[in-house]
Amino acid sequence: MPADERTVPTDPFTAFWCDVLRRMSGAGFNMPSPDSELAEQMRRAFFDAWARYFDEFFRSEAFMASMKQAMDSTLAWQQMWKEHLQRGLSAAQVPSREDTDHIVMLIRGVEDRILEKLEQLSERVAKLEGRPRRTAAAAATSASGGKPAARRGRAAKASRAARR
Amino acid sequence: MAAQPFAGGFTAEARRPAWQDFMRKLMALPQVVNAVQRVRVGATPARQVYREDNVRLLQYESDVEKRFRTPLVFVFALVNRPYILDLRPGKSVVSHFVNRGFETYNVDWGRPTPGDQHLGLEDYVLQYLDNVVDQVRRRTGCEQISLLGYCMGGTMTAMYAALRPEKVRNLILLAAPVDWSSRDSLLSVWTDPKYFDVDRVVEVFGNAPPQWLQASFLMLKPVQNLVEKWVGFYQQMEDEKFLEDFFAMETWLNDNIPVAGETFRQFVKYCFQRNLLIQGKLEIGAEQVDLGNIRCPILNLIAQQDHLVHPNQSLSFNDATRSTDRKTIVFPAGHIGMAVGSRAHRDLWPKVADWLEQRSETVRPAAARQRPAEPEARARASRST
Repeated sequence: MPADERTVPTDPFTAFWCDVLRRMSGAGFNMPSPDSELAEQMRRAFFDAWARYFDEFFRSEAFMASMKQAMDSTLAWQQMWKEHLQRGLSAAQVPSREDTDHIVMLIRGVEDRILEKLEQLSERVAKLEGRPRRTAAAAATSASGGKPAARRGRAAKASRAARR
Repeated sequence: MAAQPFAGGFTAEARRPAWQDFMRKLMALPQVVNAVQRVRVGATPARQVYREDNVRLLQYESDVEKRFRTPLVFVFALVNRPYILDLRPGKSVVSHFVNRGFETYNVDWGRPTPGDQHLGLEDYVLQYLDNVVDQVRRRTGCEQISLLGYCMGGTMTAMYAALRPEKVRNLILLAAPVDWSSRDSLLSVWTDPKYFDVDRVVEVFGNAPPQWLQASFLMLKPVQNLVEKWVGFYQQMEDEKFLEDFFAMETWLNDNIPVAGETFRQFVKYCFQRNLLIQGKLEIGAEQVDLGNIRCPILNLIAQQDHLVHPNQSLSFNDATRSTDRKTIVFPAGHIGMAVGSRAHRDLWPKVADWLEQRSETVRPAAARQRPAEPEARARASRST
């Protein structure tokens, strides 16, 4: 085995402490001043070692598994708390955030249906007038403030797809 | 020569310099409190010129004569506030362009409320951003505008430029991820579908909670963010200028906002987990996002020491487009250092402004064309004589 491979440890902390001991022995075991350049270098090396260690740890299977576990329990707790709160509010006949969210969803659904209907109507009008489809689409676009009329409807379908 | 307290033993005499230093720091505490109280963010005056729901379009005001017809619009990410681009005098990206005579705008996405959890990428890119661009085009009478997108805002800007290429004259991306194939960034590792159930997060929280986002960003570099930064603060807490900059930065860092749930879900799923954008498979609304549609001049600014958006996540962007005028600058800075670092303001942003100047339509084409060509024309004239 080559000498380099034997003396350079891969673990950041072992590397750091090896470096510290080497420097101290080189300096005759004199403790450095906190203000000295050597102390600054040691601090830098210490922080770098920590940073490398954390980076490695945060990528490890162990951390990922514990993160998942912590997240699952937090979400379960949050969900339970939400449900209890909602039940309480419902019993007191007070609207909850869920209710307002539901209303928003309903409004968006109505909006989607209206826009789809508008597009169908534009197509029918275009057919009746004998104009090509492209012109009808342009008319629908201008009617909805410069945006394709059924875009939001399609967008809503796309978000439902994302949820799946 | 620096004092060697340990060399002389642990005597009171030997510890005196350290003790004196500590006392000096203690005396500086009122100064720190004062700096916290009068922290100000924002360097350039701006006014709101358009609003749609929570989204605001801000126009920067300046006494500098307008030299370019082509306006510039900054697009920031959805996770933080956009004033990082105009944080403080001397640390303002915006000022580089305003002072060169660009009509400059910034998009403030606002703070999503629980009712906004259903807003998706199509709402932000094809609705809000498109409306903002149309508004700027209408105000300036320019058919095409320049866009500068930062971080996630850069990704959204790239999507927009691919979907509406006819409206974009120049595209500048600043630390913008477009390719999530590598696992260099910790965020890519953490959003692995095996461990991160984004559907469940959105289902329970509605919007992506800002505290979670903030914690994730902090944990990307825990030693630097939780230890080194405060060691540096202790060392420099007597410097008033440092305190002002430090607290302005802290104000921005802690000013997190939630991300609309549906957008968060789509971004994590389509970008981080499936990497659809660079493959040309991403659909927004009912439209396919093909980066090959981008043919305008592109400047891709990449932060070499970026811990949030690894350089590999941005490098492949230029090759995915069909632009013939494209340039990449890899600058030795971090993700935020690109916007607020002194070196970036000295060496990078003047170059970016030069690049944009050469590709923007001037207010008086005839006069302006003569101006930059003047030295060249003179040289040619002297050569001919």
